[in-house]
Amino acid sequence: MMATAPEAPRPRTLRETLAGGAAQLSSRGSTATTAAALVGALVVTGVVIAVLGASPIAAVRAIVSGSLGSTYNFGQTLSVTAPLALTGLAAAIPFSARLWNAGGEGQLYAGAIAGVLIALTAPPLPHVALAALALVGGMVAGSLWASIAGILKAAFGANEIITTLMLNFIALLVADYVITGPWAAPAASTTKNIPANATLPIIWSGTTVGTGALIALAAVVAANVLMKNTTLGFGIRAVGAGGDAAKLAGFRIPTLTVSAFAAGGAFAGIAGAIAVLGVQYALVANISENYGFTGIAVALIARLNPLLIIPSAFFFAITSVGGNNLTATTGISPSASLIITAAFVIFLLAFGVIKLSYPERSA
Amino acid sequence: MTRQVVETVLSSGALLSAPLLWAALGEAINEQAGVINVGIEGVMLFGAFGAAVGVQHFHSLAAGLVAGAATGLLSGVILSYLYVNRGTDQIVTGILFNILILGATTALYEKYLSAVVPSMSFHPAHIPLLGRIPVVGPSLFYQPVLSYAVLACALIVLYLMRRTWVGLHLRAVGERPEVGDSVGLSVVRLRWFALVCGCVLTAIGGAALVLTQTGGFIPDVTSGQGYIALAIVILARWNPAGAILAAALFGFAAALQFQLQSTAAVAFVPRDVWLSVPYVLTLLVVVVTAGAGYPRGVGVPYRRS
Amino acid sequence: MHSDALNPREPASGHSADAGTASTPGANPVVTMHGIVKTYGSLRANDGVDFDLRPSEIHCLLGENGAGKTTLMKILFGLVSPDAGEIEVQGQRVKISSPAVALSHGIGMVHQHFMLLPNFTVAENVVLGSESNFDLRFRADVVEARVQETANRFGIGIDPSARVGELSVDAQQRIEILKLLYRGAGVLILDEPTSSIGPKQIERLFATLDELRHQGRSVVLITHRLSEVVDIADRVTVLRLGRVVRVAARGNFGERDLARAMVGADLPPRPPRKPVPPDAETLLRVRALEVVREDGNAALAEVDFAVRRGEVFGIVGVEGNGQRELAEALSGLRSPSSGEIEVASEDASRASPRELHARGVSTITEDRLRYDLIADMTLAENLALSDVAGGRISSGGFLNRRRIRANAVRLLAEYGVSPASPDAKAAALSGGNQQKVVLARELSRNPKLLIASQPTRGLDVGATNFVHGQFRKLREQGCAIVLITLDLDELMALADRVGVLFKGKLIYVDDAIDVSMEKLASAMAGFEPVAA
Repeated sequence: MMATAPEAPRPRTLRETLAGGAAQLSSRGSTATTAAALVGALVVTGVVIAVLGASPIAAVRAIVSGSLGSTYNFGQTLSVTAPLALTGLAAAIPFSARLWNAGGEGQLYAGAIAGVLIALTAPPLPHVALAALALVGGMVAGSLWASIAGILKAAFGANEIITTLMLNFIALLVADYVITGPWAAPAASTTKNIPANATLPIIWSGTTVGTGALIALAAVVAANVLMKNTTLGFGIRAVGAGGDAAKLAGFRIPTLTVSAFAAGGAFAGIAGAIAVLGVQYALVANISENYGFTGIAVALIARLNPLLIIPSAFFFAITSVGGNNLTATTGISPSASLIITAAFVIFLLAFGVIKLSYPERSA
Repeated sequence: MTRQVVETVLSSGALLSAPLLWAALGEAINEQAGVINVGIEGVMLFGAFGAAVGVQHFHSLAAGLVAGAATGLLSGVILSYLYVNRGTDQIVTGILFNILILGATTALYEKYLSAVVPSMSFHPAHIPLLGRIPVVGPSLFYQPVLSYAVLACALIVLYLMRRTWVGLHLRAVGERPEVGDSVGLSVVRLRWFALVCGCVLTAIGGAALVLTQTGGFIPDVTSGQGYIALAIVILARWNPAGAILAAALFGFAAALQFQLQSTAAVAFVPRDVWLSVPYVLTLLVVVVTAGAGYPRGVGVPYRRS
Repeated sequence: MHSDALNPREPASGHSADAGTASTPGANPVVTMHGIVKTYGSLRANDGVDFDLRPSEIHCLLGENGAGKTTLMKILFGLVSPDAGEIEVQGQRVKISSPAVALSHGIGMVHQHFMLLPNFTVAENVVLGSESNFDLRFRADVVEARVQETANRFGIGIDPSARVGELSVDAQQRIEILKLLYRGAGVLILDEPTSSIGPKQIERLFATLDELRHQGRSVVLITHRLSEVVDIADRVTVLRLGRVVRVAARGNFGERDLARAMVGADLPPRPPRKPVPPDAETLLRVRALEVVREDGNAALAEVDFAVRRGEVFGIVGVEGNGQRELAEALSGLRSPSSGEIEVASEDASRASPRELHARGVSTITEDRLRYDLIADMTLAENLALSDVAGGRISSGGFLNRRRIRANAVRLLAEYGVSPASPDAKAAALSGGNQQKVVLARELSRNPKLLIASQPTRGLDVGATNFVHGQFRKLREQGCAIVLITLDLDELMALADRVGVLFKGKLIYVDDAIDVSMEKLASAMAGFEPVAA
């Protein structure tokens, strides 16, 4: 047997550089680039705030105090963390399979619609039973709404970005019908209130923190177990990281596609049901403050890792709740928080702090 | 009576198709060069906003058009930097860009534009001979100048993509950028060129929306038309001439849907059902055309090893 | 691999073998590379390499995989920048910073993976980039005429308006060469040009190269195949582990000493093997297999063969004659349009990959980073990939993480994978080690049947020998092996029986003992050999 040189990892070929690997995100920046990205995002935010006519310092103070400054505000931030964590999961799970679920918004509304309809039309049941039923109904509705896109993709190869986006608009129209139609309340843009037996109770008195927060926490734990400890989660990650190899290994791609969407949609549906049952106690016109799209940002910052979803969602909740206070104190539009959110994530993407890599492409 | 209905549908159909066609043309250029711009919705919205601001400030439609196109330039530069220079994931970046623009235009609208009453829009222009043809004349040939312009633009884009070296090179780097690189083409410069041109056209689509239809800006005025344009591009198989027909399909469907909203025979159907027609149609189109192949290099940022 | 039909010192184009067309010793070199150093981390790909190229010369760059030949030429072509060293073209010191610069000096390279646009025409591919980025006015007819003219000048047969995607591999190769000639390249670098074409196509290629030499061009042929060097080279430079170990001119080298220079020692003799007992049970039976591609063309037709226990059936043929579809059909990735596949006497014609795994079928594909391994997943996850999919390493949907890890540790040690870390990402390993991981997973299942496509593609001698050793062990244990390969050396080293695929049909099947190179070469080119 002849001697050979010890094999060093051979240099990456052009193909491999273009290829890479998973839909899992990696952190490839040094601390310096991360810092630069954060600074860049803050600068842009400051400029936007200035253009909108307020002092950036005052704005920061308003955001911080609005989200963390008092027990009530802190509770409000926690309350908003819940739906963001859920829509974050709704994005993260399909993204792990390289399925671009841009339909979190619509899936949330599907859950809200189911939740309110069950609450309003179900026979009288004991409190826990009715609330649970409405919650489960919301979860199932969100899951089914997402599965439409999953099935269209699995069966026909339909581009899921466009389908989920279209389903968003359709869901909004259905919600509009429910709000203005048979279940409309005398007040504008809302349905009748749900019966008290369907509500989710507040668990931290003096704040708005309700059962929803606990449900969101449980959901994150469940999602983590799903992705790391089950065959389904493994399959979703394998498909995202190397669809062809997954297929040859025996994974059934169409099944995994639909399952990934179903799982994601379920979480968004729960978020919608919680919004109705625990926050608004009715289906109101803008029940989701862009939670669906912000969820995408939450998922990316968390690098698709369920455990990091909560801190990521918390950060975005600060921006959102603080942003509302910003409006109150400086008169800037609440949409400013959207700008901040998006700019921040774009900067992180641009500086390679979070990076999506690509599985092997056809030769 | 029916003749009037037909003329109305034709007329508004053509009107509604135009912004979609502008956006689709822009996106066709982007995608043929290898970049899928999911941010098309944001670019269009930004163009609409720019047009409204231009009209408000300078009291002239031309200014509105120029301002709208200028936002396209800005969008193109930002997106080129992100997609091409930084190589960020195209789909995710596009979605975030849309959120960014939605937030920015809404906030700026509330601050500067909400008090404004929309006032100006392009009037339709008669075409001399063709305008006399019954039914079609008073409808299809009685459109704002911008609508005629987009048809001309489609033919120009077709020529540029198929009959020039620029077009050949753009399509080459869209198909396999490494091949273009190996023969000395600058993938970066070509994609910048495509994106900037594409975004300008898309932004003009947004401007057209404001300047020929709504007359003014409201938050999220585009309401998904940019995304619909993504489907139009696929349906048209990336062919600018095909895009005319594909955009027309959606425009006329929308016009028909408006008509049906006020038709007594189907008054029992909730308004929301009619409003969902464009979106459901897009779903169907996407399902039916699912086999159509994007240019092979689309979606993957190019990095020379 | 020998091509007897091409007589070494008679230029096939018919010109007389006078010294005027061959490289003249002492003529001023076209290209000189001096002291080239290139390091990747701890790996010295080029360690002070000197290389020169004369006009009208075919110069072979010989060496094992990983010897540094491709790196050296990538430096010459501007794809890679050297850490040290100088390059001179026509006596002038130059700095080649990109392929565009290389082309401006008349240096062009044909890569192993062709740089062609399949959906564009031949003419479009050839002229791409020859006008500046942003010109207008492209006239297809004018361009096609110009391309045809250049092709005619060098005796290269093409149809300028054909779509490249529809052409055969060797036709595509000709287009790559034409691309360079169209741009006036005086130096052509060809990277392993014969690895995916058959003997007759190789003849044609060498004829073309000979014509180029006759017209004053110089060719660098990167190869690891000794017989080709002997056939065609005017001079040969042998690289080993990043250094030049031998430079010799025609007449001063032969296969044996080149082999010794390449490898540093004599190749070990092939171990003897036990013949397959005649009553061995048939583990794979393929009957009248037909696969029709999406475009309507038949990729496989009337394919019929059987493989017994402990037997290696080697299937060879020029790339693109149905090998891929056959492998896909046998591994469950593709359903045949008609015909039957029987595994251990049970029908498996439409079995899914999962079902086949359960029945004891293992697969190794030719594209390990695409079909066998998931680059961004860990070694433990890769090793458990098919077990997880088949539900064999989980209960109630929950993974048995401890067992996954224990298996990984065991297999990595058993197969000598380096680094033997279950948490390492597959992408971090070298090609040889990646293939070991694939083998570990597929072979540790004790399969009844193994479908292997080009299992040693891109591997160096050490890794190749390891793979062959594993296959031999598997054969002894009674596994039936279908070996689909392009490498005739590998074929002869492993196969008990041989089949040649041509345009989707097995036009020649024989016992390995009775096979000769002529018969194989004929069959690969489409001529059914006369029965022995």
